[in-house]
Amino acid sequence: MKKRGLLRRVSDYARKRSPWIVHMDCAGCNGCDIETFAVLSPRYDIERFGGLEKGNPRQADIQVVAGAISKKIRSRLIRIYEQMPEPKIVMAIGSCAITKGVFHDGYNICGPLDNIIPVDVYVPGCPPKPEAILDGLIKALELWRKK
Amino acid sequence: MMQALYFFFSILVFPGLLFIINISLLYTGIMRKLTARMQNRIGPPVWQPFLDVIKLFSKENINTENARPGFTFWPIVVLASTFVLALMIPVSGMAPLATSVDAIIIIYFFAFTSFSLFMAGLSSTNPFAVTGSIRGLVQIFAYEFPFVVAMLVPLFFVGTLSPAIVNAYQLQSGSWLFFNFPIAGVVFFICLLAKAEIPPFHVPDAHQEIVGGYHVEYTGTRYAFMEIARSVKIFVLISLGIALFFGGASNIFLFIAESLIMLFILTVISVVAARVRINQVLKLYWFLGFIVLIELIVRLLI
Ligand code: SF4
Repeated sequence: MKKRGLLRRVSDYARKRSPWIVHMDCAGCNGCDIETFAVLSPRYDIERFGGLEKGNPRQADIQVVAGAISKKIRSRLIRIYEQMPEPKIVMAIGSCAITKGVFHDGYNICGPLDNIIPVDVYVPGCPPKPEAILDGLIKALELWRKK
Repeated sequence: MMQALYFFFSILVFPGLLFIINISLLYTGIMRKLTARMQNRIGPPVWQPFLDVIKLFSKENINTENARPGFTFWPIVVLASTFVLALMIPVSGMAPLATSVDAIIIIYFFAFTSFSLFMAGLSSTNPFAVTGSIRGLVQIFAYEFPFVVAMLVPLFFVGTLSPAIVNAYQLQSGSWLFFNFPIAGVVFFICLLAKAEIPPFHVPDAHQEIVGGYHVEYTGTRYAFMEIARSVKIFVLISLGIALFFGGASNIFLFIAESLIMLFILTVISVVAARVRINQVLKLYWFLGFIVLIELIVRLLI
C-alpha cells in the first residue's frame, strides 16, 4: 500500500467522519426512498457518524441513488453527479438501481446505474432495511483512502 | 518591545484569532450536540465542526460558469470582516483592537459582514442563492434598527461608546444591566437570534425551502470560510451580549460559564421554534424597534 503523508492522513480522517450526502430518487417505486429517509430520521440518525443530508450536490460527498433509471432522469442524474466536487462516492440503493429489478422490461428504463455513472457501493434488497443502508454508508467511508 | 510582542500575541493567539476560531467552532459543535439530544438523537461529537471544516478545505473548488467576478472575493471579505469584529469585542474584558469608540465600528461591521455574505450569494447568480440573499437583505432592514437602539441603551446609561467599559461598569456595580433595562435586553436577545441566523429567524438560509440560500454555489475552501465566519459570528454576538447586558465577565472561566448558559438558551429556542415568514419578521422587528426606542427616549428624559 502506498504511504500517505500527514496532510493526506488528516484529510482522510476528516472525510471519513463527515460524510454529507445528497439523496436522489429516480424512477423506482419509492420504497427505497422511504427507507433512505428512515436513515435520516432520529431513530437511525446518521448525524452520529457526522453525516448530514444536504439537498445540494455542490456541498455533498456521497450521492445516494435509489430506484431504476428512466430515460427522462438519466441526464439529470449525470448532471447532479458532475456537479459534486471531487472526491466523490456513489451508492446504489436497492435492486432497481443495481440491476433493473422489477422494472427490467420497462420501455423507458435505460440500464442499471453502473452503466451510467461509476458506482462504489451496492446495497441490495427490495427495499434494503435502514440498517443495511447504514452499513453500506460505513463501507463507503472506508473508500476515501483509495480516492 | 515587550508591549509590541504582547500586542501581536493578543491579536493572534489569546484572546485573538486562534482562540476565537477554536472556541467558536467548539460552540457550534456543542450547539449541534445539544440540538440532537433535545430531538432524542445521539448526535455528532462536539468536535464535529472541526472535521467538517478540515474536510471542506480538502475538497475541490468549483467555479460556476455564470458567476460574477465577486464570487471568489466575497467569502474572503466575509471571513476578514468577521475577524475584525471578533477582535473589537471584549472577551472577558479584553479586546485586542479596542478603541474608545468601539460601538460605532461594531455597528458598521455587523452590517458589513451580513452585507458581504449576501453579496457573495448575489454574485453566484443561482436562483436559490439570489432568493436567499434578497431575503437576507430585507431582514437586515428589519433587525438592524432595534439591534442598534437596544445596544445604545446601556451605552448611554453608562455614558460611553465602548462595550469594554460597560463590561467593567457591570462588574464594579455588581448588577446586571439586563435587570435595569429588561425590554432592551430582551429585544437585544431576539435580534441576536436573527443576526446569527438561528431558527426561528433563519429565513435567508432556510435549507428545507431554498436549500441553504446564499451559499448554494459555494464548495470547498470558500464554503469553509463561510462556515467559520458563521460560527465566529455566533460567538461574537454572545460575547457582546455578555459585555452589554448579562453581567460582564472578569476572567475567562466566568466568561465561558456565562456564554455556555446563553448558548443553551439559544439552542432551546432554536429547537422549539419553527421558522417565521419574512413578512412576519419585518412586522415583529419594527414593533420591537418602536418599543425599545420608547424605552431609550424615556431613559434619556428622566
Ligand atoms: S428496489 Fe424494490 S423497493 Fe426499491 S425502488 Fe425498486 S422496486 Fe421499489
